[in-house]
Amino acid sequence: MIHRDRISALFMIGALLVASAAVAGEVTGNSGSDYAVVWLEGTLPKEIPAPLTVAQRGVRFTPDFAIVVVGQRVDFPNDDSVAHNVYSGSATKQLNLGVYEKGESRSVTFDQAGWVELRCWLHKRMNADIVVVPNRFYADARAGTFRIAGVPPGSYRIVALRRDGTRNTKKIAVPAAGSVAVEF
Amino acid sequence: MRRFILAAAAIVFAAGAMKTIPAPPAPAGGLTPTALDRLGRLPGGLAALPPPSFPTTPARLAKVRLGHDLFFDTRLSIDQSLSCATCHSPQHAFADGRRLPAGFRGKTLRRHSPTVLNAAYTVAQFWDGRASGIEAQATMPIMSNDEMNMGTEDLVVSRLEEDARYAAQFRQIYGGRPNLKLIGDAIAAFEQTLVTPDSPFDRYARGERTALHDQQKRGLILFVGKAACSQCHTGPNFTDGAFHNLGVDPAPDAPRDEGRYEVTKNPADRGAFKTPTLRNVALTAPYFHDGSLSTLEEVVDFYNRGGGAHPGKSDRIFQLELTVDEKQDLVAFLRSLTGTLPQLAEKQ
Repeated sequence: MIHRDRISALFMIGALLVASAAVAGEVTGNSGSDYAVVWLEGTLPKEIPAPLTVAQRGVRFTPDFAIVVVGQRVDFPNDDSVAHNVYSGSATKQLNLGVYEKGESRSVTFDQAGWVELRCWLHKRMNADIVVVPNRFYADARAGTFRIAGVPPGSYRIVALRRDGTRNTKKIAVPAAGSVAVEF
Repeated sequence: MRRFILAAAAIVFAAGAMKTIPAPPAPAGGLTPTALDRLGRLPGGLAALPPPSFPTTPARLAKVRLGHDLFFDTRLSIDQSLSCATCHSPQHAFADGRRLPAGFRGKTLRRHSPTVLNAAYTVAQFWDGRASGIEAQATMPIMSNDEMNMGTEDLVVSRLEEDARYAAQFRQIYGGRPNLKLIGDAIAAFEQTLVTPDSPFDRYARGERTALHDQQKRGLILFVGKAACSQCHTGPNFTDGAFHNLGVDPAPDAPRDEGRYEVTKNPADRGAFKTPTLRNVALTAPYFHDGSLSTLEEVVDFYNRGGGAHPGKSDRIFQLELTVDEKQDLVAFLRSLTGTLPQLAEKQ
């Protein structure tokens, strides 16, 4: 996440220096303790980030929370000398990757936005949450604040998702430069 | 109308986040005994014990014989009451069958006596790993005040040289007088013959499909999967050679024992003990570094409830939620790790 933000920031600075026409603002705000993820909806570039890795290590999923974009692939390598499984019965994505061993990996591409709870069929303590969002203009809001950088100017809906699946939506206008603050 | 569609979408979205995920049927690729039979190699890093690597030359056999004699010789203890075999007896699969060993003048030692069988396959020796390799390990109990208590190397040497046969053996094999290093070398040569490469598990690992019955195969599958034993009990000798804290609660009267921490002084090693081999585990009760568990069933129950409550427990230990049948399968598999005891030892 930090890496991605840095890249976005560098891209912003570079874009401003080279071509002043390519402008972008940011969205920041307070989300309280309620929300897990926020994202923007509207006319936004469709870019699918590189595949994400959720490893099976020490009989846990690592990381155990991740946000991915619709169309993004997630790799699940087994780094344990114990066999593992990945399954989900969630409505967003039902999957069962079978049981596989150290050194093997299975992959899933998430094609629908929503919350996906992952489990290992063998080890009940293994669980992970993957939140699938429509585009790369999202932020992890679990700490109570959020920041989405590199947003093209325009009018959007900002959606905040709670862990229980309910959400809150607000309309925002992002300026060509600078910040817009949102309170949930 | 638009509002209705949005509301419907929200309901679908909320349903997607519901916490009750139904457990799926046995996943595709889930191991069954039949599928296990077809695997090219065993899961969990398990493997047959490799054949002993030492040559069977006359010189080597002479060294093994010397090591054998030293191993069983009570003259290597100050009061001539203890030999290596006192706590590592062929009658007890080269352990002693006691919860805690009786050392010098019957003193109860702090830690359970582990089997010497297959010790040659692991580098870390003693429950805290304070010796590397069986050569270094072999002479330490001879010198320990709580065990054979010989005190000085000179005394060990003069004891052995009182026996003209020993003096001649050392001269012939090593070209000189005995010393502790050579004694360790000879005992280690003997211990390298104390291996059990022909257990039902080994025969199965070498491709003999009927060497294990289905319950044992189900136990193996649990061992490398749901029960997660192979996190630590991995490789041909069923140990990662590392140190872990299981949260074992010390007995009320137990002396303080910090395990690996006493060697490394690394706080992360507090209460951690070496992962023991599981080979011949059915013959080497009681279990754990303090001998606190009497049966394999008790050991499986201990892990099933997520280990003990003592501080510093490893994150590798967690509640397994094994069924009664699964626990029995696991014990059946552990019983398949018993090999034939070495012939040389049986003569004793």
